[in-house]
Amino acid sequence: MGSGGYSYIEISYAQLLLSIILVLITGIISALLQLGLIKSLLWGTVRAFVQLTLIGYVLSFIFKLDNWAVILLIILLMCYIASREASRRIKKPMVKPDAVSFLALTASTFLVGMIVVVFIVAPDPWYTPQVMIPIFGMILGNSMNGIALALDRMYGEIYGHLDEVEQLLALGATPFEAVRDYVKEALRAGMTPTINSLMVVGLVSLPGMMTGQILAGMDPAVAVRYQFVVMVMIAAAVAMGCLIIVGLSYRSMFNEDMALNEKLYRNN
Amino acid sequence: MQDFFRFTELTYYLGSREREIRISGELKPGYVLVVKGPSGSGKSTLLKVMARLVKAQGGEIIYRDKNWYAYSPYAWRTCIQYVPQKPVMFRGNGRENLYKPFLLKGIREDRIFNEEKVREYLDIFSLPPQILEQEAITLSGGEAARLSFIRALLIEPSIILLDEPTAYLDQENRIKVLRFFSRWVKEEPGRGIVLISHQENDIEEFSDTSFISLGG
Ligand SMILES: Nc1ncnc2c1ncn2[C@@H]1O[C@H](COP(=O)(O)OP(=O)(O)O)[C@@H](O)[C@H]1O
Ligand SMILES: [Mg+2]
Repeated sequence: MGSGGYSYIEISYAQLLLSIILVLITGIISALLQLGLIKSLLWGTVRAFVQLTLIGYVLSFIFKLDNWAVILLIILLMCYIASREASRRIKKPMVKPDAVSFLALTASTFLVGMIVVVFIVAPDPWYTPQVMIPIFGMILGNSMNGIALALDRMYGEIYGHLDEVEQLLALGATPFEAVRDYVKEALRAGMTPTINSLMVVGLVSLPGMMTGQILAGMDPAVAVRYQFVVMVMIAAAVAMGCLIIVGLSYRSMFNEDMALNEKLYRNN
Repeated sequence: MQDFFRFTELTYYLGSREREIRISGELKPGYVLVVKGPSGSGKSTLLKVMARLVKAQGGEIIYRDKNWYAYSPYAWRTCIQYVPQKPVMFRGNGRENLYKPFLLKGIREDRIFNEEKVREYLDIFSLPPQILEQEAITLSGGEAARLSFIRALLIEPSIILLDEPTAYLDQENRIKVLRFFSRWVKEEPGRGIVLISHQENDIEEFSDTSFISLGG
């Protein structure tokens, strides 16, 4: 599979131990300049090692599974964790956005992820966990950021323009007409980072996935194709996720009489 | 018609739930109902409740013999037009600001934008026609206030809720605006005004007035 006979080089445990040198470099800098970071550095190093080791075992276990239902369940769990993280980042929600973020993430991730896995990568069987888990994981990591940005911006814009929204309602606007400009702003905020990353990819840095595949011995030309698919997939999932979450959320800022929800004033 | 605009036991909270206001009263056709009360007594909120922009906790308004909830919120708000004290201008020029309501659900389908009327109102409120091309958020307070009156009038409401309409106006424009509204309310049957004003001499400009008062 590799180009020119190269395949990946294993890092043995002995070699791994050598990476302590790198931790030492960081530690010495912190000690010399009295940055007070030694404790966090040690704790961080231990945590990183333990977490990665654990996830390694978990992934080895999952990759041996041959049951599509269990794999879908694992992905649902990933969606749940990502949605918790996304809603944690929203500063002033009207309603706790746990349910809507879960819905937005799950719907967008599954639709886009399935298109990629089933039609583009097309492994056999389609639920091959070595393909499903990383693909869905990458989508979730990005959509999570996207929907958090979009929702946060939507609330921020509307809180900042209550007079305008109220004036539009007085002039006969529906709730959607009254917040349309702010909804657009929110979608733009959510989608801009992924669209910008399309512009600079390969120029500023090589994406982690592509780097990994090249280190693992994949022909760079193939790795590039993968990377392209992944990036447009992320953009599509982020766009969908933002649209869903904003669409499901703006209405909660209004009451049943199509006026601004009185809670909005009290939160201010 | 028994009732033109009658509100009974209208109940609402001010900000937090600590203060509750309950008020009844009536606006007769052709009249100006003046809302009195010290600053912070809930006058502006009352107008928003009347316009269904703030939820009433209880009570009702009967308009033309029908309960207020018999009307859609869009029909209600364009018919009972609230004009806030601080004028709100949107991005775009003066004309786009005047045109705004004609793009919205309330009147989109049953009114057309009347350029003739726009010129007439600009003239009445002493605004130069160039104001239509000017970026609206760059207008002075007094200009924006008058443009917001024109925007409200173009909707052709039956009742206008005016929150301290003269706050941003100089003496000359203050008289012009008040005289205009005192004519407007009598010009056609079935019109009315609810007015908040701190200035006694604002009220002198109107012929038929009644009062309600909010406690401190
Ligand atoms: N959106 C709001 N959030 C918090 N408090 C409010 C809000 N609107 C009104 N209030 C409170 O309600 C009271 C009455 O306000 P308002 O109706 O504007 O009074 P007035 O117009 O008579 O001066 C004020 O004390 C104000 O602090
Ligand atoms: Mg007020």
